[in-house]
Amino acid sequence: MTPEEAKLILSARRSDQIDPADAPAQEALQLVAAMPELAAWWQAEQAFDRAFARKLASIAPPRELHSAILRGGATIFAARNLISETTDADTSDAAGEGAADGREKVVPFYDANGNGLGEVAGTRPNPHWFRVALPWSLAASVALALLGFSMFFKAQKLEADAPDDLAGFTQYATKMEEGHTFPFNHSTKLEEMESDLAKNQAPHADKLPDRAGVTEIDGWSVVEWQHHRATEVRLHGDTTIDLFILARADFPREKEHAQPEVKLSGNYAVTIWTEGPNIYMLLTENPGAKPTGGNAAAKMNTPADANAAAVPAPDTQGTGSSADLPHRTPQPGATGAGN
Amino acid sequence: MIGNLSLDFQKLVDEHYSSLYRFAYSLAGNEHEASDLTQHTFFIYANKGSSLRDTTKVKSWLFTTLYREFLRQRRSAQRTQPQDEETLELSAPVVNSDVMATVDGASAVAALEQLEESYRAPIALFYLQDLSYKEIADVLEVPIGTVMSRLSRGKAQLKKILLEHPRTA
Repeated sequence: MTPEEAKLILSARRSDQIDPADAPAQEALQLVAAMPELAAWWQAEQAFDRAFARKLASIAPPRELHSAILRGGATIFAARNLISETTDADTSDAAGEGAADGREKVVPFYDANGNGLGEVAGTRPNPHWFRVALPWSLAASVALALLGFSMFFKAQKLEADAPDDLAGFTQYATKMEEGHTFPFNHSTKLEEMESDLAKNQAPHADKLPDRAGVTEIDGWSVVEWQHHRATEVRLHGDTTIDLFILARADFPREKEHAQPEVKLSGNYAVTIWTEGPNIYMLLTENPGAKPTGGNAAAKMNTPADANAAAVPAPDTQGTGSSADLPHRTPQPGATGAGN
Repeated sequence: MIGNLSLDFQKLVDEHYSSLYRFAYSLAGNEHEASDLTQHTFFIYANKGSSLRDTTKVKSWLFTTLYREFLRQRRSAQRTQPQDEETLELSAPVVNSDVMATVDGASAVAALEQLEESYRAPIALFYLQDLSYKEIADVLEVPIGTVMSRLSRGKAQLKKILLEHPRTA
């Protein structure tokens, strides 16, 4: 081994972490012991490494970063938990059997006033209903009728009949998501969105709320509903995640939601919270459900949707393909007025 | 269920968010972008990380994800390509303790920013002390030999930068 080779090997090792089983490093250290000039180099190298590492360690994260990450994570887990609860054990509840296994699952179905349609005891929403051509079981039919009652409404009738409150907007938003597309400004630039929303006097904030659990956008639109104006932001992610921003002043009877509240509405987990002058409503798509109304292809709002490339996540040793994270490669932002 | 998920997630954040942030900061050079990268990495984990088979690899996974996100954002910003490594000479000046005494955290990061892009990530990961050179190779998805070469050359370049501009580096 030459001194240059020894330097190359030892440069990549931290002096306090050299493994006795690391043969090349051990050989390099033997050469260090035999050559005073190399020993001087190694001593200086270790001193520099320690000093520079201390400098980097002195960089402190912003104080609010920790809590911001936890808030976003909490929202994601709440939505995921709700989705997984409603699709749990589907394999044991094949289409046609209903829920005759004694396991009651109370699923909250909400009417336009936010009142539970009940405790549809003994049944549960079954994603299989969206996959098979016809519902065969009576229990499935009853539940489907309850779902279908709202799912096949036309958007205009929904809007006309829905009460002018948050529950009504929730129903409107989720049904619109399933069958239609909101006209979109396809841009990933937050500052552009802020400027556009301010110009259109639509609800907005200085930055995406931490609870949204996402830091990038794919686009936005301004939604007119019941003489109110709301903002819809399509958040960047592998599934459809939409963040609606509403003005609290438009819903004076709505209570404060200091902590996020999550419920299922149609094919979405709906998370609601209030922050400052705004009400935030996060719609997270249930990946186990398929939309029953409208054209699924209509959900392709952007070229990125239609040409989404699944980029395998870092496959670190031992993680295997289950850690693959397909994510959309953002297309060049193409701004434009809504349709 | 959600209680366990949240607790595990919190533990993960507690354990890794500082070093992830420092890595992000050493790459991005500013607090805002570093915070975004760090948050985004944890949100990806919250959405998908529970499917990670080998939980002992979660640290590498986090660093790799963050690095990928950084590269993805950089690609869209069309940064200049790094120089051919072969053209850079491997000289290793000595930086004594007097010089290091004038360097603080911000100037250490500033010095990293001046490094060739191919050196910056391995050097940052090395000095964050969270990963071995083999784990660094995994994170950056390059061969071990390449990591060793980049560390050696990167350190030489870093020392030159610190010697030339210790405070403003």
